[in-house]
Amino acid sequence: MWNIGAEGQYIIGGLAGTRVALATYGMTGPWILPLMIPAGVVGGMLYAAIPALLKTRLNVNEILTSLMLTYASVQLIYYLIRAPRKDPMGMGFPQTRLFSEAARLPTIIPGTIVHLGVPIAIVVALVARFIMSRSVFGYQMRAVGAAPHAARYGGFSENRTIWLAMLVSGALAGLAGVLEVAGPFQRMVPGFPTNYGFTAIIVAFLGRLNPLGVIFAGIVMAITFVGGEVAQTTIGLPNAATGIFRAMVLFFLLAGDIPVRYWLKRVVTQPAAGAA
Amino acid sequence: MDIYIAIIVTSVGAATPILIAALGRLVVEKSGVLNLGVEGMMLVGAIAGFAGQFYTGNPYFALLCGAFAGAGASLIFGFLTLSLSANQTATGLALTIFGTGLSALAGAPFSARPIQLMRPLFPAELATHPVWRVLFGYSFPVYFSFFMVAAIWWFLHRTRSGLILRAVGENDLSAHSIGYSVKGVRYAAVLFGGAMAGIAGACFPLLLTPQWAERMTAGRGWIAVALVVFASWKPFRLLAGAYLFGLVMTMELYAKAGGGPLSVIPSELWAALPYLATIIVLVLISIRRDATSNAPACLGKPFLPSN
Repeated sequence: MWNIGAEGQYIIGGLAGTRVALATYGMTGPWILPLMIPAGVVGGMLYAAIPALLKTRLNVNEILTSLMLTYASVQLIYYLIRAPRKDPMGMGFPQTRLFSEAARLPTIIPGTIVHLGVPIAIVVALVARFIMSRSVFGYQMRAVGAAPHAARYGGFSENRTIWLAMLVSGALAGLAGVLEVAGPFQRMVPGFPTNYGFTAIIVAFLGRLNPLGVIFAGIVMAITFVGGEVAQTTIGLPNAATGIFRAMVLFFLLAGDIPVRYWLKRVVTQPAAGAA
Repeated sequence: MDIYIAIIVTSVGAATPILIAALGRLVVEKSGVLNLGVEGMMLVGAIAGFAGQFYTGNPYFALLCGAFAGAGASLIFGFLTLSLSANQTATGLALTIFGTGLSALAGAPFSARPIQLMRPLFPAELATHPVWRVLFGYSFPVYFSFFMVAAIWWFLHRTRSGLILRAVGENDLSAHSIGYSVKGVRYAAVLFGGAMAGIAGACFPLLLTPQWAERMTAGRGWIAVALVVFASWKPFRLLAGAYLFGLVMTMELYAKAGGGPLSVIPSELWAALPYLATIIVLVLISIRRDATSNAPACLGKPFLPSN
């Protein structure tokens, strides 16, 4: 199962959070953020439900549908910030107003941009790790992924697993979107889609599809983003160029899989045979 | 009258790169390989074509540059998936990210430096009358794309090599057991697909916008991917599909320009329409039962002969 549309679910999550933030504009109270975050999660989930529905009902390729929905969601941002949700004080810039204080994620280390999203992400990874390795649901998901025929024979429903995986994945992407919009951005801007959804695919592979590995892989990828920005400001390298680096990480990772699994094993058995 | 002629001419321009990329992809898929890196190969071809035109001013050389760049990019994919049996879906995505980054890096020095658009193939006297313009008013890649539709159909269905290619895509183990080189055929198909994607990419600066812009192919490579499924792996249906999408994209341009009744719908919706149309089309063809049964049986599966 390939959810290539995480970027789109991230965008819809961000837009749903924005909607709540703008509807409650000027209000104060600790209830606003707890309302925005579920809105983002549900937004991402609903957007992921479209490819899941089309895949399970009509067997439509989920790679293509989730990707096309990503491109459509980018246009939705452009439309919303150009016309109905435009900042009235924005001097013509296509962006929404700055969220009120209560709709912004607080930073946890004063003076930095480290916001509440960081501990939330770590908790999510730990929970995901527990679910994937210790629960029936996690076992079912791994079984359907690794051996669909055996899983079907064992009575696991493939469709149910696809639904669960897509909804959870969409919910997490939506969570990422709402955390980004309420954290670093604090308003919806045209630059909100930052290809995090695509980078997330590399992160998942670099983390060897393990929720805890993903934390470290996420940090490595984050360094490439920061490094890319430094390279842009100091030597004028275009930011997109860091994509080359990220793609090469993935290339080497994929290329390394076969030698690691097959070729090295042969080397290990040979000395043993020689010693005997 | 003139507006219809203009719409047709613009649609042909928009459809041509999609058609060329999709044709290359069709051959690759027929050999059983799923290369999702089309968008990346197109971008690499676009910057190579742009640079070729910028330095030499010869658009044919520029197209050749695009073809070689696309084929070069596809070689990375071929090596990883065919020689090292890496996962094709992941490698294709990596190739798209790679091509996006590489083209942005290579294209940075060219920003805001326009090039010459490719001139029409036939002399201008032939295209003075509007009706003749619809037939003779285009540059070389448009006629090349028509030629390739027929050539690829003929190759796949009327030649021995085409039959071998399809055999490799339908049942790699059987093809292997009667002595055909599965990897050789697939390498050739992947390189051809890469060259076609590169030419398609080069069409963007040469035919559409004579300036370099990052990600200038704007997801058209993915539409080409969807189009192959839409056409159920048939070259002539690909032609029809590409022109349908070309027409939708032209509507967007006219809506943006404020063209009367079209601008009632916001231009962003028009821009999103090709992507939404792709989803609708994919849904429609999967409702028809036989559609996916035409897919090559070994599509996307790594070839691992157990000796």
